[in-house]
Order: sequence, then C-alpha cells, then structure tokens
Amino acid sequence: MSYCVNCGVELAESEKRCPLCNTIVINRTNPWKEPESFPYPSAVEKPASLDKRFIAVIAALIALIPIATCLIIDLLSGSGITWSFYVIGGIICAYTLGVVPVLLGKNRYIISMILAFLAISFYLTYINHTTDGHWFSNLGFPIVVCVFVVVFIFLFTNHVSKMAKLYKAALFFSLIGLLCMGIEIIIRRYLDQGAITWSLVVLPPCAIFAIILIVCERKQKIKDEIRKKLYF
Amino acid sequence: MAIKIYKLPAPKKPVPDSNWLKLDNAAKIYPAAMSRKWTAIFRLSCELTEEVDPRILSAALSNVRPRFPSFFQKLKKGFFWYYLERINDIPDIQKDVANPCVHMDLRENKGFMFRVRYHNKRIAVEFFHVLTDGTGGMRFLKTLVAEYLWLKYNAQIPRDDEILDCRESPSAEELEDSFLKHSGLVGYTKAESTAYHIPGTLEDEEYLHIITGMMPVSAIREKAHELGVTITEFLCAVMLLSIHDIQKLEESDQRRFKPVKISIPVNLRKFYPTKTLRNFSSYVNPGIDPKFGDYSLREAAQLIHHFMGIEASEKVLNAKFSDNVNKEKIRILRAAPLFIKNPIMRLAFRKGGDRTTSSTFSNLGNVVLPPEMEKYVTRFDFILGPLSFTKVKCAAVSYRGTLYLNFSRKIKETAYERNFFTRLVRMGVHVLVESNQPH
Repeated sequence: MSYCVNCGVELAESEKRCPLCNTIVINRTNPWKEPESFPYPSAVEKPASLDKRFIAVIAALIALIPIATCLIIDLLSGSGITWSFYVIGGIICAYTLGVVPVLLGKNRYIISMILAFLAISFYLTYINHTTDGHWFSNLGFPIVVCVFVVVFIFLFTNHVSKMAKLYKAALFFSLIGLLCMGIEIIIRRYLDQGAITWSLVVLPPCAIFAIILIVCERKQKIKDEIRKKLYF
Repeated sequence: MAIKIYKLPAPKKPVPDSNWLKLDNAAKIYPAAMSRKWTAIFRLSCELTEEVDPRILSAALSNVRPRFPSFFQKLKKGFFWYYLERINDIPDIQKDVANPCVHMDLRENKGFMFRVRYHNKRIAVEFFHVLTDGTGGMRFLKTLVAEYLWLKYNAQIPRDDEILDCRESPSAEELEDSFLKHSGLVGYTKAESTAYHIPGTLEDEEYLHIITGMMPVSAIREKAHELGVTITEFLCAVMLLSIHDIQKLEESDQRRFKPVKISIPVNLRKFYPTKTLRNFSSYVNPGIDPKFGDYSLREAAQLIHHFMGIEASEKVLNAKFSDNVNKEKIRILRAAPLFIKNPIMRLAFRKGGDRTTSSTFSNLGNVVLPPEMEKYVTRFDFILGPLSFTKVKCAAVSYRGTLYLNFSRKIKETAYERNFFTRLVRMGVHVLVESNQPH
C-alpha cells in the first residue's frame, strides 16, 4: 500500500501517480507494479460527431450547382464569361465566410479571417477592374480593412481574455460605434465631403450603453437585481 | 451451459396494453435540454467476485425485460410532447470504456436509452434520466445482477420491492407518474441567485475524469454525529468548504464572493407510498454565502442541517414538484406544438438548470442485499454524468461498511476533489483513492 506524500490518501494498486495532485508514487519497500487489471479499460469511447470535412465537401458540391448553371448560361450567350464571374466570386466569398471557419475550428480563427479577407478583397478588386471603377483603393478596401480589424479585435479579446460577459457586450457596442464612425470617415473622404454626421448619432448611444454595461458588471447589487427581475 | 429463460405466468394485474408511455413530469425537460453533445446520464455499477460472462449477462437482461417495460423504450417525437415507444428487443451488451457516461446517441444502441457494460468483474448500467432516477436505476441493476447470479450460480435470491421478481408481471403502479398522482393544488417556486462555479480547463468533450474515494462509513458517521448532522449533510458541508477554498484563491475581495451551493437530489419515495420505477425525486440546494465571512465546518453543517429540515420536508417538496405539474397542466402550454415548446423548455433549462448550484451531490444511501446475493457482490458505484455549469459532480453509495464517493469532472484541474479528500484525511478519515486516469 502506498500513500500520496502530498494529499495523505492511500492510492489503489492501479494508481501509478496520485490522481489528486499527480505526484508519482515512490515507495522503495513496495514499488509500483502494473496490476493485473485496471478499474477502467484504456479504450476511450468517442461519440459520433458531425464530420466537418464531409460538411465542407457537401457545401462545396451544393455551391457548384449555381456556379455551373450560371457559367453555362453565360457561355451559351456567346460573349464568354462575363456576369457569371460575379456569381462565382460571391459564392466563393460566402464559402470562405461561412464554411471555412467551421472547417478550421474556433482556434484557427485568424487563418479563417485572413482567407475571408483575401477572398473579399480579390472579389472587390475584380468588380472594380471589370467596371472600370476607381472606388476600390479609396472606398472598398479601407471599409473591408476597417470591418476586419473590428471583428479581429472582438474575436481576439474573446479568445484570449477571460472577460466577464457584460464587459464583452460593452466592447461589442463600443466597436460597433467606432466601426460606424470609421465607415463614415472613409465614405466622406471618398466623396470629398465635410464633417461626419450620422455616425455621431450611432456612437453616443453605443458608448452610453457600453458604460452602463461596465457599471452593471462592477455593481454586484445591480447585477443581482437584473437577474432577479429577469428571472422566469 | 444452457441459459434459463423465464416463461411469464398470466399477469395478475396487467399494465395497460399499450406500446407507448408518456414521459413523467421530471423527464419532460431532458429531451428538450439534450444536445448533440450532451445527454443527462448517470451510471450504476457493481463488482462481482468473478469475471462477468457477457453471454449470461445478455440472457439475464432478456429475463429482466418483461419486468421493467418502462426501461425498454425509445424516445419518439409526438406533435405536442415526446413519448416513449416500446422496443421488443434488448440492447447489446457492451464492453466498458475508460470514459463513463459519454454522450448517448439515441439513434445508436437500437434506440435504447440505457446501456449495459461489463469490465472484468464489473457490471455497469448507464441510464438516460428520461427513463428513471437513481433509485429506479438501482432496482434495475440489482434485479439484473440477481438474474445473472441465478443463471450463473443458480443462486436463489429472495425477491422484494428492491430486487424484483422477474417471474411476476409488472404492475401499473411501477409505471405510474407519481408526480401527477401526488401533486398538490398549490405550487411553490423561488428565484435563486447564481452560485459560484468551479473554474477549470475543459477536457475533451467525450472525456469524463472519475476519482473514487473509498472510506469506512463508520468513520464518516462518527464525524457527522459529532456535529449532530447526517452523513449527507456532513459530506455536503465538507464539499461546500472545499469549493469555497477554490473561490478564495480566485477572488481576494470578500464582498465579491458568490454563494456556494450544492444540489442534493431527494428521493420522494420516502414520503409517498409508491412503487414507481420512473423518475420520482426532487432536489434542494443548500449552501453558504461566504460574503458574510468564513464558515467553520460546524457552522456549515448546522446551516445545511436546518436548511434541509425546512426545504427537504414533504410539504415544501410537494409544493415544488406541484409547481412543475401545474405548469404542465396549463392548457395553452399543452396545446403548443413540440417545436414551440422545445426551445422554450431548453431556454428554461439553461436559465435555471445547474446555473444556481456550484456542484451536485447525490447520495443513494446504503445498499443492502440479501445474504444469498451479498456473497457474490463486492462493491457498488454510482457516477453522475456531466452538466453544463457544474463541471464537477459527486455521487455516493455505501455497501458493506464502505462509502464509495465518485467525483466526475469535465475539467483537467483536481482542486475540488483534492481539497475535499485532504480535508477528510486531516480529520483522521482513511481514504483510499482510485481513478480512470490513463494507464
């Protein structure tokens, strides 16, 4: 019989190390020997889970239907690939935004975001190019960057820190306000217009709401009262 | 060896001849609350003196089937409620695994909501809570083992309400929804504050760590009697303080301490004359509020003792489950289709559920077997499956003077169990520990 020097409990014959503190059993008079049988077998049952790769393949196959249909109709019209590329590009963007993150999982959200960013940027570049537009570098791209920076800050904070839920909500509202302001600045610079207007209507309510949430999180009594009143 | 299969005599008091059953009042929440990754599961097991023969175990299960019709069912969706539909088969006997109480996929195992497993000398049954509670599950396990021993050793084991006679027909009483039968007119519910939740790094979703502590019942009883409380109350007090030890390390400001509460299931059969094998238990949530200062073990134990005296009384428990029954009877709720009820019930479970407790402690009490059976059975275990907020749970059962405490946890850290067992060791209780950690 061996006892854990840290916890003081006797360890069953099956235990090579203390299951409570992970201390290895060192008993010179009675060294650990593998018992004939363990209390539990070594096989771990893994419940059947949805195969993400399978889902991605199915989603890709389903996406092929409108791609192929549009491509055929566009080619049959006789002037090569014209409008169908917009559909194809849109579907690829939707795929990178919706399916790829599921496939890569929560922990690889940075890769998912980079892929989505590249897909959307290339798509907008193409539209800008084919329509002889001059809006991509001054309008489209800055807005895309702005949105992705905000989403990245939110996801990164959620992933890294153990922030309270109300703080997270406060961050969300603050970012929404700032995003609106950023988008309006970009639009106004592109249109060569003056001072910002509508984003100032969005920002104060978002900021006030964020402050309220921060105060609620810091005041236990308010939190309890809200819980009590909203209990059902 | 030829396997003996019973031929049932003509039933004396037949159960209604129907191949389906309504879910009992407590069971209704579980199908709505279950998800792709979680089902409410608990496990009961016992160890025999010799290796288990799966062929004989399968035959024993066949013998048990006619006596426990409410167990051999599959869950089906009706338009308004879920219901149970009889399966004229038995589940396959499975080899045990390292991770008990793993999520039950109801499309597998022929649709059965329990699984029978074996490992060396152990027979284990894992139940989805829709079928039964701990007491009903224990009767099933004891009857199954009695049948097994009869088939293997021709052991003549006397039958009663605990070990059912498989040669008798089931009675309607055993299948009744005792909540409906015994509910009163007035319901009672109270809002509870959110409790402290044990922090930790979540383990892989399929893995459940088990640490079993074995200790003499006499030593625990002595400690409990010193404080003037029951064994359950004493252990609950030690658990509360062990959880609060973790909170103290995490939060230095006493004013921000959250209440530490433990959910204790209460068997309602001790208050009402019922033979039901289905769910018939309620719960109480005793706890301490450490905002008001440090609690000694005696203070915590006395607090729980008096709390239980009020909350675990027949009248209060009746009002509590009557409230659920009354809700079930509201016409507008009953008339709502299942696809509307389901999300509402799921939300109610998540908003209430285990949010208000820090952990669960279920004590099935002392298992007593007739001498003809006891000589073949060396040990019993009771394990609770995981829940969403309470990441560590504990279940206990006593047998032949030993208390078997099984902690099941979804996190990597062992702070709670370590605090608990070291507290007992410091009190002079001898604790033997085993686990399911990888070999």
